[in-house]
Amino acid sequence: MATPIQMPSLSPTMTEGKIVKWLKKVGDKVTSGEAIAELETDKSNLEIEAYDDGYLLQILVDENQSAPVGAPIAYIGAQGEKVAASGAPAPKAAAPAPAAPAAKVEAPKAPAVAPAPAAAPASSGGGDRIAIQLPSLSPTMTEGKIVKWLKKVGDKVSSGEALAELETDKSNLEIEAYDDGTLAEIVVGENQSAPVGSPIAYLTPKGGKAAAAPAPAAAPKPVEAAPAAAAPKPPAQAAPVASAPVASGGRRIRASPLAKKIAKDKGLDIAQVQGSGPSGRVVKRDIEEALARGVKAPAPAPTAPVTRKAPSAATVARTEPLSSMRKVIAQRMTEVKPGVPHFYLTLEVEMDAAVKVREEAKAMELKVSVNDLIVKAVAMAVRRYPKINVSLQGDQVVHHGSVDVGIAVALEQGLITPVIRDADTKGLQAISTEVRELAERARKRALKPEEYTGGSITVSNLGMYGIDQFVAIINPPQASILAVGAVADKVVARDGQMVIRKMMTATLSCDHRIIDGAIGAEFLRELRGLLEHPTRLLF
Amino acid sequence: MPELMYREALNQALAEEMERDANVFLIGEEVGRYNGAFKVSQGLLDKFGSARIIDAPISELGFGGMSVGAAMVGLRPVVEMMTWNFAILAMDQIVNNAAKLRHMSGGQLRCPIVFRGPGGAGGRLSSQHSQSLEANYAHFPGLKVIAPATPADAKGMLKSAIRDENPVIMFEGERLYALKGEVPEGEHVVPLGKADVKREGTDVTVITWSRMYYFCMQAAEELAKEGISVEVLDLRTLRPLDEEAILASVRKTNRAVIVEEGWALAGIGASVVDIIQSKAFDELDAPVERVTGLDVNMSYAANLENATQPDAPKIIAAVKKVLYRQGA
Repeated sequence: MATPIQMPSLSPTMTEGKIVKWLKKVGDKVTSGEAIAELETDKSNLEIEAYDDGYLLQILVDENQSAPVGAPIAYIGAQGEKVAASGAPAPKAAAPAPAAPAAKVEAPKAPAVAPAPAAAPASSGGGDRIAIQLPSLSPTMTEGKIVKWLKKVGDKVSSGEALAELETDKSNLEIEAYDDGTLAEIVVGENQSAPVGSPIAYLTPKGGKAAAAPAPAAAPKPVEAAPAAAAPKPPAQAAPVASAPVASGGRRIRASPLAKKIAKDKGLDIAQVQGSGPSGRVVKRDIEEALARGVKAPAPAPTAPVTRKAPSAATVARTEPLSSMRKVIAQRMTEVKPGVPHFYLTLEVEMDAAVKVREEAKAMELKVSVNDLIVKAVAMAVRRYPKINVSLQGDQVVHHGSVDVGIAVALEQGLITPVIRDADTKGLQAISTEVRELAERARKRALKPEEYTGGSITVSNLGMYGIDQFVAIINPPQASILAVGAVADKVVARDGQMVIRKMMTATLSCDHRIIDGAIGAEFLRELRGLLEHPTRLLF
Repeated sequence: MPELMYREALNQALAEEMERDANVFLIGEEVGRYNGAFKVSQGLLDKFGSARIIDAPISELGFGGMSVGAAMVGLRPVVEMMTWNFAILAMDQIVNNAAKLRHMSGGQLRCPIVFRGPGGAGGRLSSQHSQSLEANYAHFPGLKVIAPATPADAKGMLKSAIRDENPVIMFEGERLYALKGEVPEGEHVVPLGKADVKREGTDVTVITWSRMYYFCMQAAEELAKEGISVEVLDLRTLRPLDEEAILASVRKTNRAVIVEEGWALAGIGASVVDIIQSKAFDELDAPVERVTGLDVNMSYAANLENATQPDAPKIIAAVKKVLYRQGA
C-alpha cells in the first residue's frame, strides 16, 4: 500500500518547509535511509530520507514549492502501484497505525509531530473507518468544544447531516458528515475540547466492515493544531467551513416540559430564549427572565443565571472556567497590546448636522442611527485615505482592495466584530439594516466565520453608555480602530461666541509599524469633515 | 405533648389496641419474656399474659403461617419479625396466603394481620442483615405497606394497621427505635395511604420515607441557608402510594428528588418517578433525580457502609442538579 512521506518538523519554530530539489524522480527505487529530497526550513537546509524501501510513486510538492509540516509531499509504494485517487490521495494518517511519518531526517531529532492528516475526513482507505476531524472554523480557532453529540454510536448518518454541535471561540456551529455510514466511535465527549484537526469520531463507511476499530492508542491526536487549511489540495478542505450550517432554523429546541408550557401560555416564542440548562436546555428561570425583559428587545444585560430567589447566593464568590470565546480574547489581548505599538489621535466632531440627517431619516420613517452614519463616514474616509487600509503580514504590507468596516458588538461572554463589506459603496439604509442583522446574529452566536474575519478598520462605540472618550485596542490584522464616545451638548467657541453644539469625541488607535501620525491625522480630519458636512457622503 | 422514643410509641399503640380489642395478640421471637429484641413489647407480657403475648420459636414460616390461620378465623394477629431480613423465610405465607386469601375465597375469608419489624441498615450488620426490602412487598396486590419515620406516625399508623381488615406490612428501623419525638396521647390514628408534607417549600420536592426522612430534613436545613426552599414529602405508606400528594407537591415546585435507602432497580422511587412523569410531565422543569443505596451488597466496614447509603450531601447534590445550580 502506498505510504505518504510527510513534511517533517525539524525545528520548534518550523511551520512549513520548501523543497529545494528532488533527489529521486517518480518511478525511482528508494531504500530506507536514502536521501530523496533537499529541504529548506526557516533554520537550515537538510535532506529528507526515506523510511521504507519501495518506489517513489508520486511527488505532491514540486521543487521550490513549500508545504506545511505534516502535509504529504510524496508517496512511496510497490513498483507500479497506483496511488488511490490521483491528485490528492487520502493519506493513511487515520488508519490503524499511523506510526512515524514515512520520512526521517538525520539532523537534530525533531519533536515528533503527530502525523497531521491533511485536513478534513481523511479516509483511511481499505474501507475501514473514516476519521471525522475537528474543523477549523475561524482563523483564531485552535480548539473547539463539543457541546452536544447529535448522533450516538451506532446511528446511521448520511452526508450533510449534522453530527455534533461545536462551540468555538466565536460561535456555535454544527459539524456535518460528508460521508454516508455509521457512527462507529466517539473520541471526544460532550463538553470536552480538542485541538483543530484531531479526530473527534470515526465513521464506518456504508458497506464497510462494522467495527474495524483501530487500536485506540493509534488514533492520532495531534497536540499541535494541524495546519489543515494550508495543506496542498486537501480533498475536502473547504467543506467544513462552507457547509456547516448555523445552528438555528430547524434545529430541535431543548426545553423542559414546564418551560414549554409556560411559553405557550404566555405566547412566547421559545426559540428566542437562550437556555441556561444542560446542553442549552431552556428551563423555567430562562422563560421568567425572558418574560421579565420582554423577549423581543435585545438583552440589555447578560443574563445572570442562578440568582433567583437566592439573594444571598449572589454575594457568594465563585469560580467558573473561561469560555472558549473568553479564552481567545484573553490570549489575543495579551498578545496584541504589547505586540502592536499603538499610538492614539483624538479629536472632537460637531455632530449637529449628522444628528439632523438621522432626524430627517426618521421623518421618512427610515431607521438610521448616528452609528450607522459613522460607519458610512469611516468607510468613505478610508476610501479617500487608503494608506490606512493596510495590514502587516510578516515583512509585507497588504493594501486592501475593498473597504470593510468592522463593528464591535458586546456579547454576554465577550465581544465580536462582524464586518460590513464594501461599506463605502453601500447606502446608509443598507448599512443600518446590515448592522442590525449582524449584531442580532452575533448575540445568538450564529455568525459565520466569513462574517467576522478580515476588515479594514473597526468602529467601537460606547456612546450609548454615556462614555465621553476612550481608547480601543487594535484588532489585528487590522491596523487601526476608532473609539467613539457619546454625542452630547457642549459649549464651544464659534466666531468668538459661546454656542451650544452636539459634540462627539473620536479616538483613533493606529499600529505605528505601518501607519504614521500624519496618515492617521489626515484620515481623522477627513472623517470629521464628512460627519460635520454629511452631504459630502453623497459624493 | 409527651416526647417518646419510636419504640415507646409503638409500645403504646400495641397496648392501646390490645386493650381496645381482645382479638388482638402479639407473636414473635423474644417478644414476651425478653420484652422484645428491640424492647418494643416492653412490659406487655406482664400486662396481657402469655395467651396474648406469645414467644415463638425461631421459625418465621411457622408462626407466620399460624398467624395467617388465626386471622382467617377472626383474630387480629400482630406478628413481630426480629428483622425483615428473617421474614424472607415467611414470604410464602405473606405473599401466597395473607395477600391472596380474600381473592382466592371469593371474599369469604379475610386476613386482618400486621407483620411488623425493622428494615434497613442497622449499623455494621453487613449484607444479610441490612436490607431495605419494602419494594419487594409493595409489589404485591393484596398487601398494604407502611414505613413511618417519626414516633407519632409510628403510633398512629400501627393503630390503623391493626384496625385494617387486610394484611399490612410495617417497616420500622433499628436506627429509628431510639429516636424521640412528640407523640399525641390516646386515640391518635394516622390513616394509611396518606403522605405527609413534613416541611413546606417552593423550589423542589424531596420525596422519601422511613429513616431517609431525617437525612432529607438535614439537607433541607442546609439548603435553606443557600436560599433554596425544599419541600419534604414523607410518603409514610408505600402501598398504596398517595399519588395526589405527590402530584400536588410536584405541581407546586416543578422539580423532584426521591430518596430511598434501598437499591435503585425496581425500587419504590422508580414507581414514584413513573407517576410524576406520566401525570405531571408538563409541570417538570428538570428530570426527576433519585438518590438511592448503591447497587452493591452492604459492607461490614463502617466507612463503606456509610458510603453505600444516601446521606445529606448526596441529597444536596441531587437537589442542586434539578435546580441547575452550580456545585451539583
